[in-house]
Amino acid sequence: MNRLTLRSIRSYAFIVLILGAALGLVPVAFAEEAAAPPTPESNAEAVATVQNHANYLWTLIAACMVFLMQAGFALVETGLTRAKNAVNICMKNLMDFSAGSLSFFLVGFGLMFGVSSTGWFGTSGFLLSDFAVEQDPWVYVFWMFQVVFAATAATIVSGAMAERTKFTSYLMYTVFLTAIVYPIFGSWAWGGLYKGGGWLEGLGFIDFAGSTVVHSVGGWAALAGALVIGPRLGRYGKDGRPRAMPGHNLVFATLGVFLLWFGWFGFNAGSTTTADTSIALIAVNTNLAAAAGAVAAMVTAWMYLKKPDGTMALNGALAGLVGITAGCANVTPGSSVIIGLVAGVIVVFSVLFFDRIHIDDPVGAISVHGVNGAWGTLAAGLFNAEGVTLGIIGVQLLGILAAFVWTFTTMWVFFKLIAVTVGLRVSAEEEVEGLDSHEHGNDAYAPDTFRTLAGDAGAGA
Amino acid sequence: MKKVECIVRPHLLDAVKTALQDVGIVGMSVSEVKGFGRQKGHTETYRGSEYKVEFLPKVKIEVAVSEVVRIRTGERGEGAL
Repeated sequence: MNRLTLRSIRSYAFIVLILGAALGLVPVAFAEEAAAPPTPESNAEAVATVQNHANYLWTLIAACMVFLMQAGFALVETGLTRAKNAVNICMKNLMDFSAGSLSFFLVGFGLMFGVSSTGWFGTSGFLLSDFAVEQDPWVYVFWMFQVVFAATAATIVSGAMAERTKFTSYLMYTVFLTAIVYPIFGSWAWGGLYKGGGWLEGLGFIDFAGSTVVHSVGGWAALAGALVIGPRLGRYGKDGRPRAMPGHNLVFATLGVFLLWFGWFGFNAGSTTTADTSIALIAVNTNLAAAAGAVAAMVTAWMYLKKPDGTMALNGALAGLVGITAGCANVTPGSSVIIGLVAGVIVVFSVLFFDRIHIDDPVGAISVHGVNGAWGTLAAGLFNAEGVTLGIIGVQLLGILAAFVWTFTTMWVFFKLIAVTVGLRVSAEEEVEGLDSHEHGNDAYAPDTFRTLAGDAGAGA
Repeated sequence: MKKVECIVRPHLLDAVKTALQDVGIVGMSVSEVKGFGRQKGHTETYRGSEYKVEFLPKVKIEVAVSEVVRIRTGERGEGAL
């Protein structure tokens, strides 16, 4: 090895000095002519550029927050169902997002935000064809934000149809919803956010972040699915009384709700798709409604069912969030609290109601998203800070009705078709033993003790 | 040698273990089981529906002994077989 002599140090130092001088001249070589003095026009342009970049940044970050809600859904749904179906729920959630992203890319986005001559659906922008090299890539970030919303609507249904739905049939559903049903209604209410223009938004329909567009659409699809597929085996006794099927991990359910709550700040505040001060009110409204919903649901369950059922409180927080989603930008914080409180009460009675009519919804998706999506949409009109008119309420009600008729009808027909062709439900044996082993050949919690022991037999004690 | 099985409520495990060790027993196996004895189960509610919890968590302690001696842990309900 060479010794570090004084001579060698001097040589190294000399080389470094020469290199440094050479590199220091590089910026000089590339420097433009001395920059022109700033003008009001160039300043305005510079500011606009920064604002534009900020819009991109905020929208993309918000999109990532909403993406994380998928983890929230996975945790809530597995937590509130039984362990033998955990892998199946996780796979359905994974595919809601994955297959959903692809459908929305291929077909959905164009139907929802493409140029719309009729006001009923878009006809351009499929496969992100709106992107042009010489222009700002805004379509990319807008698509990112919209795809996570579409996937949110899709994944609502997996909870209501949990523990008894055939995986292949569910995949077909998720493609159908994200490609056709969700985007078409979405185009009525939100098409104008991009290149389209819908008849509903033209009437002044208020649904800032999607109480109806996302949550009611998901909720009514869930209702159609739960209705067509029927309750889980053993869920309602011969005497008609509901038999409890408790979830297997309420810690998961809680973590899931926290993740959803977090993501909702992106869901609501991100819907500005602009980095400006309006996000502040939206965030406050979002938080207050969630908190009020959780408290109200807990108190309602406590009074009505004698105990503060944790799962009801969790549903309450989500109900509050769904409830504020439509009006988060046009109501006051005080109104948000009321909206959340009402949502929390509604969700408890809604869950009990659907049970009474024997519609089995393991996670309360129909009540949280469908029913409270409708409440939130109405509330956006009732609590409109700039004034309430019968006209405004009327349009809100019209939107609620349109969403229900469109979504429930198309999805009911779709699920019925699947049921009579390839089959919607797993066999009784599969349902009893759990979907994980039959549909996936996996165990969620790796009870492989006995298998490992057998495998170790050759290893020597 | 005789095998003694002892099924107790979980919070008594430590007392039983100590009592066994005090009489000179060095080894034991412990497993989690469910069951009911004189205590009945109870009724829980989940989202508005009632369900009975009949099988309560218990702990089974198994030891091999040369002769069986009654021991007390000082707690009621210690049912050594």
